[in-house]
Amino acid sequence: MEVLNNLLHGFSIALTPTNLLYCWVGALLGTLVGVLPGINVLIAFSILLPVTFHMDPTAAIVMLSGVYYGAHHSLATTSIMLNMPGEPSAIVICFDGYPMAKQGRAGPALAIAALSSFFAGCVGIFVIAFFAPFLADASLWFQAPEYTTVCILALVGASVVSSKSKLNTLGMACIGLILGTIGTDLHTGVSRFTFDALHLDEGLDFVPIAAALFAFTEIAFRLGTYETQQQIKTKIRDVIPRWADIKAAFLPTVRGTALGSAMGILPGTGPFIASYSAYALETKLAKDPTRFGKGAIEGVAAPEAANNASAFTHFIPMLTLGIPAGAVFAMLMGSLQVQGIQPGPEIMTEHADLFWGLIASMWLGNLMLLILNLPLIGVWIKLLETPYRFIYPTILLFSCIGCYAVSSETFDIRIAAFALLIGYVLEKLDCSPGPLIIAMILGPILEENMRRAMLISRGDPTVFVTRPISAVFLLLTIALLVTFVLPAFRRTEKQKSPGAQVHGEAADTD
Amino acid sequence: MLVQVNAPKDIFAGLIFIAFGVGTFVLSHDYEIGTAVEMGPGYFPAAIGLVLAAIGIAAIIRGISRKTPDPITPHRIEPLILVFASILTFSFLIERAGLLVAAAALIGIACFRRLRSNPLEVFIVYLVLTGFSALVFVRWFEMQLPLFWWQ
Repeated sequence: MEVLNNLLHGFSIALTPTNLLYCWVGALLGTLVGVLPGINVLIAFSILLPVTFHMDPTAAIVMLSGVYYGAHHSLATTSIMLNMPGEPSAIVICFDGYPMAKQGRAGPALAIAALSSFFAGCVGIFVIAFFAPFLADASLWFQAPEYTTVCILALVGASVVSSKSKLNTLGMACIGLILGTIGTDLHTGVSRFTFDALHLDEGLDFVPIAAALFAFTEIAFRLGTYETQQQIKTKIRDVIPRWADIKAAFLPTVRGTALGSAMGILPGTGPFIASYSAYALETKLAKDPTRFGKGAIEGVAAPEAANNASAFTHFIPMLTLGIPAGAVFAMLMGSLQVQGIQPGPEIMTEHADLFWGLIASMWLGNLMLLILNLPLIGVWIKLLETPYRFIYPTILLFSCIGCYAVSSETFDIRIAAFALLIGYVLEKLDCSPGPLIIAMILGPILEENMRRAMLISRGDPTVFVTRPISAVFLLLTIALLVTFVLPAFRRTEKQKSPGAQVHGEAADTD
Repeated sequence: MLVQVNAPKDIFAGLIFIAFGVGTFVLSHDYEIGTAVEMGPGYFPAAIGLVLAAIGIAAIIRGISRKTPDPITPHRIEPLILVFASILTFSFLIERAGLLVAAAALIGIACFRRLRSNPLEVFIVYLVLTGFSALVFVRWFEMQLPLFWWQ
C-alpha cells in the first residue's frame, strides 16, 4: 500500500502545470528526435542538458526522461516505414515491420507497435515503482568494495556489449576514466592535469565532450558521405488494427514485456539484448517459424515491448545505485549531479518528490505518446523526409550554445572543437564514444570507492573477492570479458554466426 | 612489403592508447602516488594509464594477428574541417561580437557549399535558428548569452 500512496504523491507532483508541461515537451521532443534523421537521444541530450541546468531539478529530469522514452517509442516508426533502425535495439523490429509495410500493412504494424510499447511502458513503470525500493534496501549491503566492482562491471558491460570493436571501446572507457580525474582531487585538494587552467579545477565538463563525440562527429561523418534523401516507398492506409492482429500480438507483447523488464534491471545489458532475445523467443515458440521475416505481427510486438519495458526498467540501477545502464543514463546522472542530486539509495528518501514525481510523469508521458503517435502518424512520417541540410546547422548551433552556456566559458567550446578532431579519428578506428562518457561520469565515483575500500581493508586487495556481492560482480565482469573480448583474438578466420552478424550491424548503427 | 597489415585500425588505435596511457602514467608522477592503503592523487590515474597502455598492446597484437582485411574506409575530410572551423570561429566571436554575428559565421562556414548554390535558404535557416535561440534560450531560460556586440 505504501507504494500506492507514494505513487499518488508522485502524481500530485507530476500533475503540477510546470512538470506536466515539461513532461509533454520532453515526450514531444523525443518523438521528433526519433523520427528526424541524423539526431538521436545522445545528441539531443548534449543540446538539452545545458538548458536543463536553468530548470528545477524535477522538471529537468522529467523532461529529459521524456525525450529518452519518447525517442524509444518512435524507433518503431523509422524501422517499419524505412527499414532504418535508429538504435541497435530496433534492428529486430525491422525484420518483420518493414515487410509488413511493404505488404501495405504499415498501419496495423505501427498501431500494434504503439499499443505494445504503451503496455510495456505501463508494466515497466510499475516494476520501477515496486522494485526500486527493494533494490534501495538491498543496497544497504553495498559498501565501498561493492560500489567499486559494480562500477567496473557497468563500464566493462557498456564497452563490450554492442560495440564494434570491444577491445578498442574498452580503451575508450579508460580514456574516459582519465578525463574524469581532471580537476581538484577531493582528498588532498591537489589540482590534477589542469595544466594551470583555472577553469579546469572544477573538472572537465562532460557536456562539451559529449557534444563533440556524439553531435559534431556525427555531423562530420554524415556530411562526408553523400546525402541521400529518404524516400518513403510504403503507404499507410489505416492505423486501426484488426481484432485478429491484436489477438495475435497480445501474448508476444506480454512475453516481450516480461523479458525486457527483467533484462533492464541488469546493468550494462542494454535494450538491444532484450529486444533481440524477445524476437528469438517468439521464433522458437511459433507454430510456423517460417512466417518470421515476412511480416509476422508477433515479430513487431514482442521486440517492441521488450525494448520499451527495458527502456523503463533501466532507470532502476541508475536511480537506486547510481550505476548508469549506458551513455544516455550516464548523462541523465550527470545532469542530476550538476543539480546537486547524487543518484543512489538515498534518492528515494531525500528526494522523494523527484523520484515519485518522475515515475508518475513517465506514465503520463507514456499515455501522451499513445495519443500523440497514432492520430498524428502522418505528420511524423512527413518529418522522416526532412533533409539533413536543415538539421545539421540546428544541431551545430544549439550544441555550441549549450557548450558555452554550461559555465559561460568560450574555453569549453574550444575543448569541444578539438575533441571533435580526436573523436573523429577514434571513431574511424572503431572506438565507440559512449563508454568514454560513462567513464567520465562514473570515474570519480569509482576512484572514491576504490580508495575507501583499500583504506578500510588496509591495502588488502582480496577485499574485492572475499565479500560475496563484490565477488559476484567481479565474476560477471570476467565472464563478459571472456565471452566478448577473447573471441576477437581467436575468431578471426571462422565464419561469424548469424547472431554475431546482427551484432555487427548493431554496432554499425550505434 | 614485409608485413601485410590487415587491420590498420587496431594498430593505430593501439598506438594512440599506448601514447595516452604512458603519457598519463608519466604525468601522474607529478602528483603524490601514495600507497595502496593511502592512495595519493596520482595513484588512480597512473593505474588506469597502465591499463590503457596494456589495452593498446593487446590491440596491436590483435591487429597484427588478424587474417581478414579490415581497412580504414576513406571519407571526405572537407566537412570535418568546415565543422571544426565553424565551431572554433563561433568560440572566438560569441563574447566579442554576440550571438547574431557568431551564429552567422557558424552557419556560413558549416553550410559553405549550400551558401554558394542557394544563399537564400541558408539565410532563412540562419533567421529561424537565431530567432529561436534568442526567444527560447535567452528570453525564456535566461541563459547568459550576449546577443549583440555591445552587451
